[in-house]
Amino acid sequence: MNKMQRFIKEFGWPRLIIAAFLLSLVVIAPFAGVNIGTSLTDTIMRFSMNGVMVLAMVPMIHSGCGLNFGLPLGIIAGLLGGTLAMQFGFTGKLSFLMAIVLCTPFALLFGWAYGKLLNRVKGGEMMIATYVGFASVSFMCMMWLLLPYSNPQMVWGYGGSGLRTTISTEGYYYHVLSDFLNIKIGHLSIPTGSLLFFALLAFLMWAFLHTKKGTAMTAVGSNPIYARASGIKIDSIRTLSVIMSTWLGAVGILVYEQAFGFIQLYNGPFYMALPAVSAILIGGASVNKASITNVIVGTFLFQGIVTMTPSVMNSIIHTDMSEVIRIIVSNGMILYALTRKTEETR
Amino acid sequence: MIKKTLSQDKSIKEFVLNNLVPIMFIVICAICIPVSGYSAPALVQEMLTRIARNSFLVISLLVPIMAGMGMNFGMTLGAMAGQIGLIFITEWGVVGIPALVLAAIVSTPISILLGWMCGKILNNAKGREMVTSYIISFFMNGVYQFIVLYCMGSVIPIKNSAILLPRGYGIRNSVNLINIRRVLDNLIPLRIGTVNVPVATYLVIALLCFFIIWFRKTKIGQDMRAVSQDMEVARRSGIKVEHTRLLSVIISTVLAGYGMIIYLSNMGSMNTYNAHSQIGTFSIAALLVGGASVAKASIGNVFLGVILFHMLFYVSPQAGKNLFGQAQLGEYFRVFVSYGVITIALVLYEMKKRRAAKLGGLTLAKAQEEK
Amino acid sequence: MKKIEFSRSLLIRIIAIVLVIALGIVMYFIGRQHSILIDNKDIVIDSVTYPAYKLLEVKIDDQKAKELSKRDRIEVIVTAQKHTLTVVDSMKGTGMIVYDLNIPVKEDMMLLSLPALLAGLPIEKCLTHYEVASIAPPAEEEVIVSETDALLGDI
Repeated sequence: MNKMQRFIKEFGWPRLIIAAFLLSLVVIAPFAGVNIGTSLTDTIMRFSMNGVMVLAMVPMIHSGCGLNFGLPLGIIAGLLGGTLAMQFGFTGKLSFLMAIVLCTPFALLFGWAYGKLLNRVKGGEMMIATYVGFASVSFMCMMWLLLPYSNPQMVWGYGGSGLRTTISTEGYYYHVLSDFLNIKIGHLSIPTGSLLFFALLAFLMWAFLHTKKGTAMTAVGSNPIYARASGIKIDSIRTLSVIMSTWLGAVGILVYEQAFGFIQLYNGPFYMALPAVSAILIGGASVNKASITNVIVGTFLFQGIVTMTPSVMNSIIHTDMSEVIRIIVSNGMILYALTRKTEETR
Repeated sequence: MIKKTLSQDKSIKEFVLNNLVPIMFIVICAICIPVSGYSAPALVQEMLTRIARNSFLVISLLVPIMAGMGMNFGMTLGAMAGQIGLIFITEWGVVGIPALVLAAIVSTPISILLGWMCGKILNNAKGREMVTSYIISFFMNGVYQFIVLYCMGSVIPIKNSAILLPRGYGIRNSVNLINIRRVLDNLIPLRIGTVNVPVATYLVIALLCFFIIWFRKTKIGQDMRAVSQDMEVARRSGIKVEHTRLLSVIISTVLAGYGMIIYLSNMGSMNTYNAHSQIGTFSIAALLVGGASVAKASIGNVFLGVILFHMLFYVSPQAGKNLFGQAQLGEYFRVFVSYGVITIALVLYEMKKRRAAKLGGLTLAKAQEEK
Repeated sequence: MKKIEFSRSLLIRIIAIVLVIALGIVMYFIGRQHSILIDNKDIVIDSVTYPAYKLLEVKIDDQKAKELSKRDRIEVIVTAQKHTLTVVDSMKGTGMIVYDLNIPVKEDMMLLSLPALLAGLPIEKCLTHYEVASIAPPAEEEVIVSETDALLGDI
């Protein structure tokens, strides 16, 4: 009994509820006439779409900057890269590569400035990160209207200037990763390319965390006093982590777009941080501790719930309550992580 | 002589730094107003309406600031309670001032419950109240949707087909509040030239201001101040810290509920699923624009903030249209400004806090050295 | 068992809550809106036909007086439950006849038949519940709850 209690305490009851919920969905699914194969395909697809953005949470959590609610800033950099690649007329597979290349300088610049800012507000990072994200998204809303883009696939048709709210990536980097080495077994379809790309980035992140710089980053997050004593430049390490996080956010949105098929501008990126944040938390991370396993498990669980709930719910009670459930689950998880007393290290 | 100008320079710099946000806003407004081309009476009328409409909501933020809990993003919860109150009076077919009072009465227990929950959670998240209350508002938005979109009409008896979705349960996207539209504003009619003044609403707001001023002086108000300065010191001097903080959130939530009822009765219709989340962001932005900080806010800040913020809110679409030919640009601009202002205010607050902590540390070290 | 103590503050609180609830109920009664359909049509009640009048003038409380010719129906919106109805038969030139109306608080809409009322029937028989015939079901309305849309629009 004691063991059980300790297990629950370590695992956290919200995670337990979420896991039980997902399990019950999986059990009910066949009876409700939902095809597990299609659901699994959808889940894997969404996993490959969102994985990189969840991975973007890792560096900042490691360096003690907390959950990166400012992910939209990275997304903005990615959107700039993606749209510029299309504007410059790169097509096909090359456009995806160029999008990554073009988004990098923006991500570095934004990340650097954002990191400098966060260094001046230690202790209040998360709130400020949220608002940095919002402010940058709403600033870019104006810019999308004003910037001199001219590619007819991207600008509004009727004479006016300004980019469309949704831009199709057809003919550019549409499904470049998803269709690469795609495996089809019956109902199951596995976007191997996207998964490999995620695996590559995840591996690089894992490798980085085991380098000298990486361990220094972990030290800054878990024990700043010790880190300072051992001569680590805390501020520059933190800035580095923020830059990494921002860049991963930028690449993450590009991966998302190539699978999704559309670029969503204007209000699109506003709340994109929340699913990523809650996914990593569901995977077992906390405000100051995260691993690659947390990313993989969390993204899979979160996306599993997102895909399974609508289909199962719809066939049982003929009502699509999935949106409400998604809101409650994801924010409930964040809330739980924020209120855990053991994590009051600062 | 030189020294004097230097210190003057310093005080000017200090003044600008302390009032950076309002000064920026005055400058932006000064540019946008002539560009928009609105006439003076139109502006005055609009501002009078908007102050009446929004002040109550913004004032509701003052109490948690008093208790050192920062901007209460959980005011959204109160707004939800107010909206539920309004749904019920519309269902019951009650109209006029009695309807407003009844909606307030219905909203109160819901606000208290939500505020209590919010306060309990925030007591577990000391030091990051703001981001937590922000997430609470999102979380409760899900619960609100669950209740209003799925439970109302199916579990909670609602029969009025004007507010119910055709499918038989759930409230419509938009609820017409013709039954209480501007009843408070028009209770005591006053017309100066072409401008209508909503006297009764201003009286209610004045009443609330006196309540806040009185509240500051009460035992609980004093306790809240003590808690905001130093929780541990307050605890040692026998103040129930958690209880005081809880109370401040509950009061704020209840007031926000009333504020929402006044606000929506002025608007005349209710956007069932968006109105509350919108109101949180904009009320906080307005308060910060008025020169309040996360740690300190006064009634003066409220009114200055509401005037400046809503001035910009009103003129920016027209200004955007006149300058760039796109009203949309102005709309985005005001969203950007609201978020930008909150960001700047939060950053300034955190920097000041760090500087104070550093200064405190230095003096402590010095004192120890002297020993 | 511990004896439940009624302390002063608890008592005050309970009284306050009761008062607030009472206030709410009072507000419900005085703010409740009803609409009364006033009819001047032939009507059959208990197999007796009451013919319509040629021209009637009716007034509820201090609202503007209205004229009803044969087969007319008007809607009057009132709040609260107690009202006075004044009827004048314009053709006969008889004096004003004043009736007291008492509308049950739960009723949204009631139908009042003037011919029956003027014939001296008790008011309960003339003032009856009225249900609006539901018109063709309105088109299904889609509720899209968008978190981002909340940011645009006026406040």
